Amino acid sequence: MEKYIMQVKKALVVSGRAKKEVLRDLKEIFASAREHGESEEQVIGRLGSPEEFADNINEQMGVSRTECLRLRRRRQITVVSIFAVLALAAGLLSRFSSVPNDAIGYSDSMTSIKIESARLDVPMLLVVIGIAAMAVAVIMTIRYRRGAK
Amino acid sequence: MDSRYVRQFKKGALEMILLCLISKKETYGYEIITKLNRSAAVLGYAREGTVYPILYRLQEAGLIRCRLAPAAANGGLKKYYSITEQGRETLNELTAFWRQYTACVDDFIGEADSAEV
Repeated sequence: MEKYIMQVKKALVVSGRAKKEVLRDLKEIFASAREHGESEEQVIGRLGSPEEFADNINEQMGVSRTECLRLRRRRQITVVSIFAVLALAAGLLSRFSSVPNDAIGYSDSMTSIKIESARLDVPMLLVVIGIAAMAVAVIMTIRYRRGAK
Repeated sequence: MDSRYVRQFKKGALEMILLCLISKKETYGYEIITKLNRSAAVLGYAREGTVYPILYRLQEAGLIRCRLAPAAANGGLKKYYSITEQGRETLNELTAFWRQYTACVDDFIGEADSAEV
């Protein structure tokens, strides 16, 4: 039964809320049947294969498979973009805030500069990661647009 | 008898049958299946895989609503379906149409029968 429910879960292409509802109902189907003395095998025999059961529901209330893939792509692009902006912002901010340190360091001894430069690597790295992530986001967007046509 | 034509009749009528069942009294999944299966000789065996998707669609269309309530027997939650005002209106319209429709089809059948003789 657990296995059956898991397989239905995998085969469903509906919104998260709908999926939760379908799986809850499926558990009730098994529970009610058990209550009436039906075995799990009997219920599964009546339900048909998990894929069949899920497809029936997909057909009635689901978004199509391509639509689902598009939604997932769009979510990925959003995540990468947000990550890019955050990395860039963090990198640039710590760069700028380190300028006064630099000024002090400049008039100070050599050792202070050394520490400064070792520290500077992190914001630089963030900026690079940010730019790279942005490039990935742009490429993904172009691909997504092309797929939409 | 399970030709493609018959299957299509059944498919079309099942939504109306479900609305009828639910309009009579608040009911839950297993009870619906059991009641449907009393007519299995004509309708064929009702399966959750056919019934639930239609319930979801009726619910989405606002024709039925459901609530979760603890079941007497096993303490688990059961989903109870009831008809909405909109559902009742739709059922009345559908029933009225169905009467007209069957009468009309019967006329054609009658004509065909008399031609055969």
